[in-house]
Amino acid sequence: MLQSDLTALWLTIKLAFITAVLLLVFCIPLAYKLAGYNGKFKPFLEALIAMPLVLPPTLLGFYLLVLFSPDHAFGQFWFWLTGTQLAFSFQGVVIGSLFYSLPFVMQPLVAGFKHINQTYNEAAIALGLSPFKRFVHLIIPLLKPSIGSAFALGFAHTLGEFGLVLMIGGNIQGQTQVVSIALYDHVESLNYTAAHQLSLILLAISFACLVLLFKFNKSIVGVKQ
Amino acid sequence: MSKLYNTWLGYFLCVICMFSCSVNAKETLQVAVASNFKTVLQTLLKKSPLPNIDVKISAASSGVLYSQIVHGAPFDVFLSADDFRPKSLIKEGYAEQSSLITYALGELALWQPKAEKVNDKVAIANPRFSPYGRASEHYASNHFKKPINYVYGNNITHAFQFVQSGNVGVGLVAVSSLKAAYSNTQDQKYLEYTVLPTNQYPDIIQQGVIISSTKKHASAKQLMQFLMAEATQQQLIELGYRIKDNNASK
Amino acid sequence: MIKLSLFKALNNFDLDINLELESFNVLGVYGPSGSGKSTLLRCISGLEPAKSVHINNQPVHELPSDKRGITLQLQSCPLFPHLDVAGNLAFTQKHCGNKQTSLTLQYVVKTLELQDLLNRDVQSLSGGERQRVVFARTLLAGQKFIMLDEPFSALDWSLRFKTLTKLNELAVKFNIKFIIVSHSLKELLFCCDTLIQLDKGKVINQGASAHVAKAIYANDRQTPLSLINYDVVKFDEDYGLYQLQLQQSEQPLFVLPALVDSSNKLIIESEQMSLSALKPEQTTHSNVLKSVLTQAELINNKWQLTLNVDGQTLYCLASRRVWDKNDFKVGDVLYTTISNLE
Repeated sequence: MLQSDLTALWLTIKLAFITAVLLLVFCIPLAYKLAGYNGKFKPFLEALIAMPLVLPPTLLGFYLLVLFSPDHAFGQFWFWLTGTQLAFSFQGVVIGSLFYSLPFVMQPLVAGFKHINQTYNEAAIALGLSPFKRFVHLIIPLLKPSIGSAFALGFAHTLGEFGLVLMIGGNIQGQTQVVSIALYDHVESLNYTAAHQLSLILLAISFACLVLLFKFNKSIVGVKQ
Repeated sequence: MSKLYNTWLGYFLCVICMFSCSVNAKETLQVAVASNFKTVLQTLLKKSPLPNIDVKISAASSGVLYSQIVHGAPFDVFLSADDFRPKSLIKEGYAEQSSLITYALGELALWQPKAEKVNDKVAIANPRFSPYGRASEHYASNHFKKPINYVYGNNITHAFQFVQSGNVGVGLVAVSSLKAAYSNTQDQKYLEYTVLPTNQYPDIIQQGVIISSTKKHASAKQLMQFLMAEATQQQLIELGYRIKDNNASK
Repeated sequence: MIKLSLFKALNNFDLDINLELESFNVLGVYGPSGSGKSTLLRCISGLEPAKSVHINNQPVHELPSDKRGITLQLQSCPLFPHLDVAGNLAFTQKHCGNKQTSLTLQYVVKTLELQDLLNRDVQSLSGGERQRVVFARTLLAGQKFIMLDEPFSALDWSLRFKTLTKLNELAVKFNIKFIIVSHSLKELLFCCDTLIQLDKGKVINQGASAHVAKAIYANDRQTPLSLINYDVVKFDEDYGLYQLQLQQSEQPLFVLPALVDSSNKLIIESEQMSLSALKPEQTTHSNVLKSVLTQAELINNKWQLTLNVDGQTLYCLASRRVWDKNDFKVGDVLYTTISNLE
């Protein structure tokens, strides 16, 4: 039992890390555009990005199950591209997590860009800096706390993911059995001792990760955001 | 007694009376039902509603319901997907021994909706805590070529969904799921199954029990009797279950 | 050398400027809050669009902000929090292209006395320290046309005058043109040679500072300020005071070191002055100047008096009671005591 729990823990941390990194890569340019965009579609875009906040994870999971199916276009496309299936695979769970944690990564980044635009960007323009210099030497360094927050939130949120993985994971050890699923298994089979043990370990690891992340975040720049 | 003349208490009592003297004067029965039996129970009750009883259904996995009952959830009746949990409740004093019934036996089928092979995975319910899953694993390990690539649904319905969505080509699912899906959609794919011989997997015994703390004994008993009645049991067969008395081969 | 034509509809009025100014070193833009001063600078800089902007006869209104050869220091100009003070100063020096002046970081630090601040965190600076660092950073952008929006509002007067004096020195030494926006006439009078007055988006006065200032006193019924030019005679170690002599005059003034700097200019507010027809029986170290009353106007129930001190002009107010009691007349010799100098 303990070995499978360790596997689940490692898998969960891997999942959270990869999801957070991928989301950062995807969201930084998107947030930059969104922060600077003030057209009439803005409320719709913002609502779309915030959707995973309000949708039940099981609903997300259910629709992903449909999406991944080889009966449908996306599932077929993926099979053509990689020769594998998305459902019940780590890659599938990563894709699900990308949806699940998207708003948690986007929102700090958008807030960061907005703050920079309002406060510092204009001053830099007035001082006569070129757009390129501004982006590289001002905006990106000032964005570091937001990037830290976005990563921390995306990571922490994915650590706790359950409903979505339950729907599309298939509970396969080493591939899709993350800690929340392993915990659920223990509770369902009335193995409360194992459930307590695993919970405590997860709590400790999550807490330690967050402490580290926020410490790191603070040391980059002591900026009041 | 002088308190009765207190205006607020008086109003309060009036309101209480009003609510208890509700329009149909029915008694509400809180029933905890394993998820896979929820729609079945609703179907049964729709066809033959119980007079004077308003059945409120709470559905979840048997394990969750068990936990809730042990922690004081105000259910009157518990219909589990297995026999282990009702027996545990009786042993721990939460349920009445005398009320124990086997209201249905689960029936397994091998379902392969598509002729061509999708992948080499097999969907079953998780054998760790699902009786359907245990039975499925027993059957599969005796009949399928090893190694078997299981995909675990957290209950038998979930396993059904894996196959239904096309993500898995073959699964061991509940006959009741297939029958229900066919009657809803008339889709031919829900007929592409083989009922497994019942002697090749352990019985999936679904038992029900009355919770000791109930205040509605009479109504609870009425529900239990309804479930075990001849007409109801026959209906269960139509809906894809087996029943205890007709099981001659065990 | 600067031609500006712009029209911009704002909330309460329209910014409607058609300005042509010949050479100046330091131009002051004066006006109440909300008169469009900041917007004016932003249009010249390129942060906001304007119909036509010409600087040194070059049209710049089509160019982006970083190509106009202008630096604008915004009123809210923040220091960049991810760098310390030295980093902020180096920032413009490193990243602003096309430098026109030869100002170096060492020179600017020395001139503005920022050595002790270099390693400090920007959050730990006081308001005044911050403004001086911001000004240094602006200078290091290296352009010959620098616009400053309320740049020294957090400095106390002594430090403010000192910094404005240094600004003037830099303007002359490095041939930099400054435009300063302020709603403090005292500040502008001290350091600007040319002044424009903005009200509700229109220029209502422009010209040499002394003239425009006088017009402002008259129209706005403001307490006038007096600008005195002096030469330093010596420093009295014993009393810790500078002995100054009014230019073109032999009349002395004894002044605290805090009020004396290399500008050789002193601003005196009306409240500091009191008048008497008789020479007060006091020692010579009491800052009494002999002057002639050249003009007297009753404005807002107070007499605004113009006094000539050996060719320089002092402005002062007198209440009606004092005026009536003393029966002053134009042409009278009056003794003006100036307080708060020593």
